[in-house]
Amino acid sequence: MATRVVDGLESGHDTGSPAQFVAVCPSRSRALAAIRILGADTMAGAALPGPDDRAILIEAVGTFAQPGPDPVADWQEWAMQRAAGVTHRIPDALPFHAGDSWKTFAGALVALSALATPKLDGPLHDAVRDRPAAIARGAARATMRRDHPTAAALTRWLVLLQWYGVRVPLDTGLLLDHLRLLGGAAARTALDVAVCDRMRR
Amino acid sequence: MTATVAAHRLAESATSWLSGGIHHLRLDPDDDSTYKSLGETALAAAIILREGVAGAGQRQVARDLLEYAWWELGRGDALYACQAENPASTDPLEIYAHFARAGLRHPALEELLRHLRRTRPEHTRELVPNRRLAVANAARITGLEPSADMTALAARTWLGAATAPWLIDRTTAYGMTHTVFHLTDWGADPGGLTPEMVGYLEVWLPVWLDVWTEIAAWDLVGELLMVDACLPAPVCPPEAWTGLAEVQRPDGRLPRDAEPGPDEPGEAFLHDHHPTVVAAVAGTLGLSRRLHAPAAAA
Repeated sequence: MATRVVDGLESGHDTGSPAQFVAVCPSRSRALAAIRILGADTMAGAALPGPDDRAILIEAVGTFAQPGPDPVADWQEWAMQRAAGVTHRIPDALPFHAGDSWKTFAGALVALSALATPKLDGPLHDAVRDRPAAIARGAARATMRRDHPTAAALTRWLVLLQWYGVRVPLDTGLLLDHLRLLGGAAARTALDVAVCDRMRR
Repeated sequence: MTATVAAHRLAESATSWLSGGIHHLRLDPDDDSTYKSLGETALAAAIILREGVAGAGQRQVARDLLEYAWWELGRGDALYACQAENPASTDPLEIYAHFARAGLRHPALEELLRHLRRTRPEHTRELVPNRRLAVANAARITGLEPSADMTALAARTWLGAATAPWLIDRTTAYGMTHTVFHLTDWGADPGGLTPEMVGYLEVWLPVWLDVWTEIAAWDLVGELLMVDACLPAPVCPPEAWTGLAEVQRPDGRLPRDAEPGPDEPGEAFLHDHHPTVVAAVAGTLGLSRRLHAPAAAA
């Protein structure tokens, strides 16, 4: 699914909706799981969702609903509902706290990289604007540890901050090229890099 | 345990271990590393005496260590002989500076060094930029006439260029720490760093500390904490100090990494002499900064 989204982002063509993806996958449950993992990014390279896509996105959320309270999952689901064009209540709590260390803060944002897009805005995005150094530290740490998927996810937040006009303490273009050349072949990393490229255009 | 308590414990315990095993460190004229280790012993002792935050017992131990190293170097005669043998070498000056700081002088060596200053020793060998700073700072400590502009030398270092922080490797990290040590004269003058360097270190030092802590590179972690103590205000979390203090063995020995190292006392001393010197200096500077800056993190 991530590869299809990257193709869509890079080619500029609609490379398939979530509904089509589920239709061609041999396992429906695995297809739904892939969509739930990719979250709102499922729609990153696609045209506006049709009714079938909406139904699939909502089904993916419902199938893998968290049994207990989980602010990260709440925000992921909020973003998926927004991507599906469905109005959804903004989660009550942020997935981080004001006093969190840079590492904890950046760690919370990794799983929320699908929210790092100009298409979404909310209280979480307002809170993230204030901590560019914490995110940059997380991105540099991940790059040093060769954890390229994490580095790409955090770089995406940094590029979004730049899109907002916030100064960030590292050269995101340089880091993106590093990830492009040395970041491995993981589709998820490629997706985050492609979304960054689109934001920087 | 607070960072202040951890820094105090690191320094006091490390100094005690150095003192207990110092007889294992003998000058071997054919082994450069023995000169270097004696110089590092003098560095630790001189910083402990300069900062004045140690108790009376630890200060006496520091004086004894300094005296031992000076005696082992023939009260400077061995350094003089090295310099006479190889006038282009910068090692004798760099080692001598730590003794000179503490008031142990060798007039003939200084006369030779004054002469050699005219050859601009920072440039008589192909040294990497942070090593040139080391020579310039050693001259400054010793009271020799300056022959190099520290600011211009600093601009040529890795830290002076402040490039991609994720590309720092272990060798560069050690080079970066020494750039900071020489520009601040081992923490005495945080103003020796440019505002750009301070800003860069404030953002990235916690990242590097985290990465090298994860792989148990305790020698480098200690040096990074020394860097933290050289900044105008510390940026690393208190847990970094308590974490290093917990790694230190009860007798004060700081292992250089996750490997246990040799058990035989003489081998153990030489194996972990450097990280334990680092522990003594880092702890002393960390304690001093916290005692002299009440607003700093406890």
